[in-house]
Amino acid sequence: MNNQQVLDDSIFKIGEVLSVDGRKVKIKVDKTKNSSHIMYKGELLKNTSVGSYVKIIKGYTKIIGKVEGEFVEEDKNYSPKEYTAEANKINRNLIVSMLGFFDGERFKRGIKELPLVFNECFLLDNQEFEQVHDFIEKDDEPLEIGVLSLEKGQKIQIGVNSLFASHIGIFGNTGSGKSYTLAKLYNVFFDKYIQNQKFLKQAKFYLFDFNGEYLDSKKSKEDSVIVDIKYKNVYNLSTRNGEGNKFPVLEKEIYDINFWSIFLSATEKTQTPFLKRAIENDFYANKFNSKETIVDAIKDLIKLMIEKHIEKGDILSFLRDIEKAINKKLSNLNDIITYFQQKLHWHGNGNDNFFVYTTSGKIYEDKQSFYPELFQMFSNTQFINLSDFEKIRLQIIFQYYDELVKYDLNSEHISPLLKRLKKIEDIDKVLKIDNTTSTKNINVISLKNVNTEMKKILPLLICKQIYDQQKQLQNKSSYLNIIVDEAHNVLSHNSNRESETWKDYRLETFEEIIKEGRKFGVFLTIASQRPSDISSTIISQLHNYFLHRLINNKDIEAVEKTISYLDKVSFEALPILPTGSCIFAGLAAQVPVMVDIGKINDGHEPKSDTIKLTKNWK
Amino acid sequence: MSDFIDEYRLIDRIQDSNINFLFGSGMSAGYLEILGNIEQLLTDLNNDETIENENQRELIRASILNKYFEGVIEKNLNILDYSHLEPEEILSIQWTLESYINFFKTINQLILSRRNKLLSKQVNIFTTNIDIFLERAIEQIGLESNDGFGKGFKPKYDLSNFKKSIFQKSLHFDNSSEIPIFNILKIHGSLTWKSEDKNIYFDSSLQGIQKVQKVKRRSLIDVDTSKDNLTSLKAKLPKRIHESNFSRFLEEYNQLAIVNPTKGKFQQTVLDQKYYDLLRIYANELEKENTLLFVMGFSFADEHIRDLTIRVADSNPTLMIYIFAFDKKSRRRLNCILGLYKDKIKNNNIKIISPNRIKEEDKYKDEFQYTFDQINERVFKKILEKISKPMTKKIFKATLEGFGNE
Repeated sequence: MNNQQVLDDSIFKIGEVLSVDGRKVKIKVDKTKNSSHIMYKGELLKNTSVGSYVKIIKGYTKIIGKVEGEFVEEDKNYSPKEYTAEANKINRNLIVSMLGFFDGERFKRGIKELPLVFNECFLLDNQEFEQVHDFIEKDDEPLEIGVLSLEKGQKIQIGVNSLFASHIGIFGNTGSGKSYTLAKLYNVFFDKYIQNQKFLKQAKFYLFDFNGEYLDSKKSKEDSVIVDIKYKNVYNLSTRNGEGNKFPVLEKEIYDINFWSIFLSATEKTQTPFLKRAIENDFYANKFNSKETIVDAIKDLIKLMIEKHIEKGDILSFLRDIEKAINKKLSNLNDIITYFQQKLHWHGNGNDNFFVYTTSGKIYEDKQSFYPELFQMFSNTQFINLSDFEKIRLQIIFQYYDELVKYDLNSEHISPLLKRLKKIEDIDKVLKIDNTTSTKNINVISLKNVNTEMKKILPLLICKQIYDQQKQLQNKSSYLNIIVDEAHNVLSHNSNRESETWKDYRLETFEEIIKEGRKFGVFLTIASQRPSDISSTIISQLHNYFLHRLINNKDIEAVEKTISYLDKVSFEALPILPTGSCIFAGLAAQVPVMVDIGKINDGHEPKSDTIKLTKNWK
Repeated sequence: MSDFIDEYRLIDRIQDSNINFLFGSGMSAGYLEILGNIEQLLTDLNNDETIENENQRELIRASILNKYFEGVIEKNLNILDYSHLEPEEILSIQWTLESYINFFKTINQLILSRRNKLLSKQVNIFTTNIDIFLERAIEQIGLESNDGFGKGFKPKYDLSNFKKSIFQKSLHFDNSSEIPIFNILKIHGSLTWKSEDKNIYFDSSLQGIQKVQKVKRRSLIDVDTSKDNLTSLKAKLPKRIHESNFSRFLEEYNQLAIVNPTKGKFQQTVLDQKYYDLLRIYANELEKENTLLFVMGFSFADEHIRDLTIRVADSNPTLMIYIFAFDKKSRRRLNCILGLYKDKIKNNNIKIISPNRIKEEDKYKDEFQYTFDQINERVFKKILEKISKPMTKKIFKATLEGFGNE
């Protein structure tokens, strides 16, 4: 036993501490330890090189350091006589930064003691190496995500609790394997728990997919990206022609004033209060459900306008606005407008009365005959049920004309708002009001066929809704995970296209999720190729990072500034990472590690391959 | 056992270690016969007390040795010059030689590709074979080797020759670089050795064999190495034995500087000493740090080598030994003979590599057999391919395309 210890030490010892300079320690390597591998008891151990670990023994304390650099010095004592070996000419030195120490069996991050000069340094044996890379807490369950890049065969497992109860950031240039990593993480995660009833009930996932990578557009019935279709809802939203799916939202979310005022870029002082009045006023809203009541409402408002001597142009524009808002849901609205245009006229010099031209003569003065004649066209009107968003649009229009008539509303201030109402059409194509909850807990929302503006709005709207819902639950066991691929689309902090208020609202919403979400069991996974574009508040609040290759200097800087878990070696490796490898750092890892992400089970890969030009062109 | 090159990470191991080979008779089996039970027969014969007549004993010995001579030794002359042979035999010599040549080419490339000046470029090949295939193959492809003989008109065998290395200077820049060199250590002697005045000299024309060949051998017993045992041989003994029929043969045969495949008994003192020296070198080489030993075509029937190997494996945890088993059956035999079943190998550093088993018509069969060719193809060439092929292939294609001939 004694002998064995001496033998092991002679093989594992690599050198001695030469100097200690703060966290940086220099180690002089023994001359015989200059190869890249050492064989030991049938196993193959990696010798020290940049990126590997060394164990420095100070008395009974085992300190673990990571090699950050190495350099050689010529041996000054060496004299080139005839009898030499190549290895004798040089001294090899390592620059090592301290990482942590062994506390009993477990490796712990952080340093309590620094080494002394002449302390002996050793290689980690396989067991110690595994302990350093053992990220699983005692009560956690492991998920295998890949193998160490620098030490093939060393599997990397991450604890489910420490990873998925945290905000995750996945960054990397396009083509560096981001989407694959994202898919792999959730593939293994779902694989492990999808059979559990409790998981289905208590965990909810929303994946925002801007490029349509996470759904199989060719075979949507057998879609098995990440997880089989039977476990997930796929919403392929589209603003093109309304053919896509519609995402269900709760009624009360739709009647949120904040949302509407921001969505319609309402000015704070006048338009927002007006919108508030319009949406909260259910007098008209109640009338939009059936033909009779809606026609009555239109008639009543026109009557009112005539009696208040409103200009004919306003009456016509009221009708035109309605026509635009509900788009042929009332069959002969077009004819009615023409009719009104041709037949309705002013009477008298003072513009104080309308009259109607008819074939039999002119009708006016007597309301008893004037109105039936005026509104006779409405009796033929067919009616198709209105969608919720059309109702809201009508509500705003009615409110506008109602106030115009009753309170002398300053139309100059409000009318720009009415012009923007057209945006509601897009919302109508992708959302529906539905208060029933879905039985599947995984939701994939594809925004590939959605226009740029809706791309910004939809994730926000949906996230806010599901976040608020989760907040209301006050249930400790319920879990919500929001996954946003290409997150710079929604989390960008310098966008010139949008107004300041909108941007603030957007960022505030997500920042709240990231700051406070943890308390309500809400976690965010964001993937992006532009970390520099994303609000630094958000990046720095993430707990775990998967960093793929980053080329752009700004992105690298953003990562350097905001991520405190990175050591120098990992940081320097960022621009040269091969595709499919990433640096995993954060709370769930004791040390930052370079991981080759494992293969996703067949059929579950995201559809994000680069096209093969040469193959397609032959 | 899917792909053991990856599984055992052979590439990484080869890149960083001292490389040694141990060859057995299986390596030349393409042309020369393998020993069969000759060794056992000779040992049994020495131990047998029941044979009273010394002549009978000598006759059996001569018969067995003759079998060995005809099956293995005599044929070496053909390796030197095969112009007079039947086409079939020529082919079988060429094939065997080709295996050796492939082997050396591949290993040479592997050593060159390491480009590590801290590692030695010497490769040790220990062999119990006495045949001349190794030397012949190296000579044919013009690689550097060390067979223990010095230079000159009468090259003398000296162990110190084995540590010589060779540097080559480039023509244009005078850069000098060590070139890979193969040390050929013939533990059981060689047919190229002739012992004279307590020294061993180089016998380039294999005169020793020719002398034995010329001697008349008569009325020897027919030995079938696959069936016969000592009792059956004794039964074949003729009633009257003339010593003159085989005494000259034995005399000349004993002049050959080879360790006969017997267990433990050596006649010549010079050979004795060389034998122990070579075993010492074998042990020393394996004692070095980060050492790889590939055992090929060797059954470990020789107790000395077996015990020595296990002893070194136990004392050197940085040694790794891979033994190629011809088929599943020989794997079991090796397991047994090396005691791998009983966890006798404390450092876990001896691994037996055997062919995969496949199911065929309800029977399990070996997918292939680890002959010399298969070892080359499936192991060393594959490693070389993984290291260098992708690039050379591309460059090659590019140059060819440039000249418009595919």
